[in-house]
Amino acid sequence: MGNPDLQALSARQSGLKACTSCGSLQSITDHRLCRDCGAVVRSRRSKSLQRVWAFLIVGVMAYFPANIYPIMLTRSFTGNTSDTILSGVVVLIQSGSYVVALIIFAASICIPVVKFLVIAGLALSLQYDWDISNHTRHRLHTVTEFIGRWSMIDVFVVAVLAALIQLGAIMTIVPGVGINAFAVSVIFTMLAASSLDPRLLWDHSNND
Amino acid sequence: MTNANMGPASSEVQRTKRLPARLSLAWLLPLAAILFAGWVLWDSYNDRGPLVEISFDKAGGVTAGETRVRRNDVDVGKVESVRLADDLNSVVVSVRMDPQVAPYLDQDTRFWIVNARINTTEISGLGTLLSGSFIEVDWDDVPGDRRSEYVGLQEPPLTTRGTPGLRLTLSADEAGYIYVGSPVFLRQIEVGRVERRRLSADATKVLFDIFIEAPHHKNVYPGTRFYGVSGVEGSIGADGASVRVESIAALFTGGIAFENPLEITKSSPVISSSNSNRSYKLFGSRTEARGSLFDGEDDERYRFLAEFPGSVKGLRADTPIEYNGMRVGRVASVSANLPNNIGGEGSATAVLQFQPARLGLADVSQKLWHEAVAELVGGGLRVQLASGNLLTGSLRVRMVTQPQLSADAIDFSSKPYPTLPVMPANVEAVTADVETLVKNLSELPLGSLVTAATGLLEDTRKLIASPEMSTLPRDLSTSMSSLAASAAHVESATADLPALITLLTRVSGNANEVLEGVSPDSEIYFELSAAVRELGVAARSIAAFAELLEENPNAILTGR
Repeated sequence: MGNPDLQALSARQSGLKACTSCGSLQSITDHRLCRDCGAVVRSRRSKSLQRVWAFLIVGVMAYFPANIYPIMLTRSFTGNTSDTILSGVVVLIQSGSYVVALIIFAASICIPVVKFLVIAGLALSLQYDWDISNHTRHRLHTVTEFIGRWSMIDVFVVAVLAALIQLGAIMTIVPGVGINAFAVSVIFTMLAASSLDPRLLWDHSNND
Repeated sequence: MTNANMGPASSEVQRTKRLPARLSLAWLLPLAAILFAGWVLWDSYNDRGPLVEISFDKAGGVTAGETRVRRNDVDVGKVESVRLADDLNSVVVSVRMDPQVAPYLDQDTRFWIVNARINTTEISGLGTLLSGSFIEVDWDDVPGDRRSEYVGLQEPPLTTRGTPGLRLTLSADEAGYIYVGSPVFLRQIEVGRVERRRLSADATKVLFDIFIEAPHHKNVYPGTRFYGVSGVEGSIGADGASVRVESIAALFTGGIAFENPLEITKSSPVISSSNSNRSYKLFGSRTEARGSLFDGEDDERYRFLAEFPGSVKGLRADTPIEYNGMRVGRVASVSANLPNNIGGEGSATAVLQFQPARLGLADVSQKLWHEAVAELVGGGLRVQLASGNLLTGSLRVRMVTQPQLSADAIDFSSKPYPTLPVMPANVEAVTADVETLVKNLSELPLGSLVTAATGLLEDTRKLIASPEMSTLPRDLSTSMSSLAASAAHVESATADLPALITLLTRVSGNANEVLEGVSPDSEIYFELSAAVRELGVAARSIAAFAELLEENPNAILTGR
């Protein structure tokens, strides 16, 4: 796809590799360490896809308990309530905070799921040489890396609430098991996204 | 990947392309995650306690997934589901209990729903108004065979199994004002509760299951007397009227009290429920309980018959039998007999229930008892009806000794009990006395008394209505105002007194000056000094008088 004029020659095709740390070019057969800055220089990150899959699986696995178990326990004199992510969203909608509900819903439900799908799709497309434009792939990868961090908003909300609302018998908020799982899920999804060597995306474009 | 034309890089590329074939260390992470998840699943499955199903009539406030099962305010389980029973008449609550408590889920385990309860005897569970109701569980401390289906209690038991104390069953003829939850008193101190109230199997008695808390349960002896305290107990006796209330709570709800006669506290107390198989009788009142301090009140061995000729109006069951004024038994029953010959007077046969213990013959055998009574009868002992209460006309049975009447003997041949010889009653004489009394009362000159009293009242009213009486208040007020005026005069006089005193002092000073010019030997000196002394005395008196007036202006009138 794309304009043939834009078909660029990759460093790898030229028998070169670039240091990701200082940007200097060196021969692909050179020493592993950059001759300028001493960082490890690889033409392609080794086992990148395997790592993507491994982290992604952990992330997806952690996502289930994150949604099943409560992320927040509220203890007040009227009794104890525990909220999962979804029930929290429902409570917010019922109390009329539609914007906050939308933000939480987007950050905690939509973004992680979209990320799983995108990363899995990218990895599959690389593995099975799917016919997708290299630019589409690149855009997807960039977006994934960008939005990934926003999933942590939920973790921060709970952390701040739990730290602030410690009023003893009146009301106390304690983080639940779910939020730990959710944090693990977000972290591993981010690791999966960053383990994907973007240069691999361009290798496949050579098929065109 | 057709880059074979890139000569220098091809070998390196081939090597790089083989790399994914080797496994990355990152795969350890999902492996660990799977192991962890598996362990969590296995652990939570393993930690799952037994599931028990409890059926309730109503599941007020019980919510699946939220309601807890608690024991001593600690969660020991959680309601998993609430559904209607198959017959659609009750509710089945499935509860997942903690594995720790599983051994105690045997037939002694009881469940009930704790809601806020407000009634005359208790206010409890108010916390559930805010926190929602919960299911309370109670078990004894002995592990037993597992049960998984229970019937929940309608109402919370008043005492949990673990509470140390003593459970007893009392039997009474009527339930009275004693309810579940009514207190049990010992010397007006609350020491227990009524737990259950039910009819006996044949519905001839009311049975009360009561619980007496430790350490007061040590005060229960085999001979302890229990009696109902239903509000107010009043009595009128020779020493006046008395009203007794066990407690304000009992005034509304009734209660049970018990006491121990001195004699029985020497025996060993009933400590545990297991050796208290005997059923205690619940007496109607304290007096009744005290009156039955001796056993054998239903012992047929100590029964006699007595045949009273003529009318026995006023003789009924439970009439006391008295010997020298002491109660020694009671009439168990009375029945009428037809006369043997036409036109003759009928008679009544009373069954006399004696209590030999009251005569100092505790636990005597029937033979010895009969011998003792026969001896007494031989000495002239007779049974006689006597007037018990003039107002109600009730009778009592009296044992009298008339040595000159030793001829009669006990008729041991009669059935079902031996018959005691009877002495004719002088009830008629008593009745005649009463009639005389009533007659005398009616002959009292009440009419003239009333007339005289009315006249007296009339005179008094006239006196009050007379014009002199009406002017009396005005005269009084006039006197009062003149009193006030004189008091004012006295006050103004008092105000002048200091000036007078000063004047007098000055005069005496002048006199002294004059005297200095006079020879001490002269007569006028003597006279003058005497006069001055007199003046000083007068001045002191006036000063004292003024002081008195200041303190008490009335002194001018009263002289004191």
